[in-house]
Amino acid sequence: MTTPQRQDFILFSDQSVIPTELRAVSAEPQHHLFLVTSTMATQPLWLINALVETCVSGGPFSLNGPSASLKSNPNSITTIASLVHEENFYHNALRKLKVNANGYQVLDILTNFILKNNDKPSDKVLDELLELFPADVQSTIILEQPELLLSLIRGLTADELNKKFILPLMKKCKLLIVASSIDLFQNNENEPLDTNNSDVQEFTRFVTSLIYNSIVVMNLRSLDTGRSKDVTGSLMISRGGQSTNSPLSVHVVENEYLYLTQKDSTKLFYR
Amino acid sequence: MSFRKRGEVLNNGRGGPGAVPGRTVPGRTPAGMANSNRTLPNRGPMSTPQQSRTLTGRMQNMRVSDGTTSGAPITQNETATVNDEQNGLLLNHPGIRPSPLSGTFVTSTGCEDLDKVLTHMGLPLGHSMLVEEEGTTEFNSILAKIFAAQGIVYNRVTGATKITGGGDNGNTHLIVLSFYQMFAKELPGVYKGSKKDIKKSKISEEQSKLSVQNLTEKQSTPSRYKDFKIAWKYKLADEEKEKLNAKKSTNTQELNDDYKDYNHQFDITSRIMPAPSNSEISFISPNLPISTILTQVEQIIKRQKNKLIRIIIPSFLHPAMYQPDFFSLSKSISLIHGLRSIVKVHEDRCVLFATVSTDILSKLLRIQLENLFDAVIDLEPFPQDMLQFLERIYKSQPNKVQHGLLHVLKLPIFSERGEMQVKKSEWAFRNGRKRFEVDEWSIPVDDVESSSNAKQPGSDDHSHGNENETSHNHSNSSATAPKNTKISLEY
Repeated sequence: MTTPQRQDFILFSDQSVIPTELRAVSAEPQHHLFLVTSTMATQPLWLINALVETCVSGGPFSLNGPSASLKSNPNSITTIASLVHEENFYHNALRKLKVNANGYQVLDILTNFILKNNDKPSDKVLDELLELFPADVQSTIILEQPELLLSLIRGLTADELNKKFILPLMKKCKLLIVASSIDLFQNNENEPLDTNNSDVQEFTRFVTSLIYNSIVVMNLRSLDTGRSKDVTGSLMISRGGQSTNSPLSVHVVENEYLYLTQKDSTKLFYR
Repeated sequence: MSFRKRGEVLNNGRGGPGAVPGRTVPGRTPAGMANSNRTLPNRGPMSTPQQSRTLTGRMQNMRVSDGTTSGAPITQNETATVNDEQNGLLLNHPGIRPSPLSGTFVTSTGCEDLDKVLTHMGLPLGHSMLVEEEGTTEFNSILAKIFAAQGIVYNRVTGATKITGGGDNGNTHLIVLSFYQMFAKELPGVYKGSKKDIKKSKISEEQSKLSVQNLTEKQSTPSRYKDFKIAWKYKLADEEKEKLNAKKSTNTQELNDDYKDYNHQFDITSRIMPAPSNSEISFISPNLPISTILTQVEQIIKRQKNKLIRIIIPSFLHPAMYQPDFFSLSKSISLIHGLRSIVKVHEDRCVLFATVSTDILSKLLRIQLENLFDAVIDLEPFPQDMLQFLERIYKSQPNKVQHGLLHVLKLPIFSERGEMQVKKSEWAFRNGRKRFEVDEWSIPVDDVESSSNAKQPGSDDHSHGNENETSHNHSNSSATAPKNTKISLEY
């Protein structure tokens, strides 16, 4: 029995994950958004790690193997912030991949978020959150599950979250990578989605706006046939709403991979 | 061999070269020594309680006076002491063991089978678990009570190292988010075995007591050999069997001996005695403001230093306990998010366990809740007709009748790493008096139905006269087939 050939992780037509235009220092930097969507069954830690590795070391060596042609960008720092995982979680994961710890920083916005912001107005909470991120227009920011803010801040709408947090955050960096959970939109005949519910509408509106603002969407989902020993799920790469308006000279290569995550390693295969 | 007169004091009561080594029992002071100024061998100079004494090693910066510890300049030593205490908690706590898969420290849920389903042999420290249940049954509350009872039992394990902090004894503390304080009195007691087992244990207890009769019985041969002359071959076979059994049980015994107090079996018809006290369990009402709840949890954790903290939320969002505004995302998700952050801050000694009935939740709220827990298990009790079907099949083995399916939606550590761990309809659970069992699920074969189908062709032979009726029987459902066969036979 032959094993399927392992494939390299590629997002753009120049065979890169993050094109050199996005990593190089420019006088008038553009602001771009990548979107990673995932479910509870296929969580995106390995993909986020690969993207951090690409930002810090030049390429996703943990996925594609070592490459001498790829060079790191020492000029910028990558910032990771998560509303569900603590600081140590990312430090431990990236330490295992031997990613240079000077190339990234982890912001802890999980700890005591409720105690600090329970009775504050939403504008103030979002402003304080924005201040935590460094204002470096050459840098990359990775933000995990910002949609949780819709639940944690009373009365916050999707439009407010976009206008007052996501768009200003995009302007603070060159590349914003948002990882969002889309379990809500999974088809389930037994439990249909109540589209008349205002909370559901806000969540749908927020994720839709992220898709429209992004240049690439990476969707992680499990197999329709259920659990399998040799396949964890599929990674579908598709163009986002801004891919046609993007000033980049390269374009997104739409593709679908199967992937297998075991322990701390992930392998990609063509579907 | 040396001879000395009774009452003669060795070496004039001083430790020295002439003192008999090994005569002193560790931890014991001979009678009459307490008030004397004699120095014990190998124990360093002893002084009066009023005098301060100098300690060696990393303790040398500490000064002990009047039984209290005064903090002199201890910076590095202090941190070292804290680390040592934490390590001591992990190493000596009866309810903490390393996961066989990831090496992280885990604690038991109180249900051995559930620990196995979690694959780590427990819930990793710093992680949270949600048990969901569909329908109106209350199996989840049993798991919550077992989880709580296991924490209380850790506290009462005899011979376990008690790491004290803040003055009170114990190694585990429970925080229950509920105003129903009877919860503590309803916790199940440890299963002591069947009546036979209890009798046997009483007999073995009696035999272990030091008496002349027991001593003579121990040295003698088994009674079976005394009663009648046994063929020497059988005797050899007995000995070989014993050797084999001893070998087999050695490996499992070694494991069990290492973690013998890790997991207990609970009898849900009994109650834990004595009922947990305030030093073992703290209740926090969920109807307080969220910031107050979180602050209280944080304060209790800080107060219960060096203890394993098990936070329990039984029947989360139960309408009888929670106000209607808790069903809004901003309140319920904020509470769980806050608790998650506390558990992650105290990840070396804290776990969170919650149960919820999913029928009262919207899809959005359910998904948001599941998202914030590290492990999610869903209990789906069988409908009545399925239970009747199983009871009919397992008529002779009523212990095999399962009560529902157990779906795994998330596993700690593995799921967050990105592994696909959703296992639906792979496990089934059964709740018994003495155990909550989880087995692999397989659809049982209905022997009655298959045997009746097998009989059916035979009936065709007898009903040659009415072919139309026979063909009609084939098209009918299997339930009606035997009835028609009977009619044809009579005909």
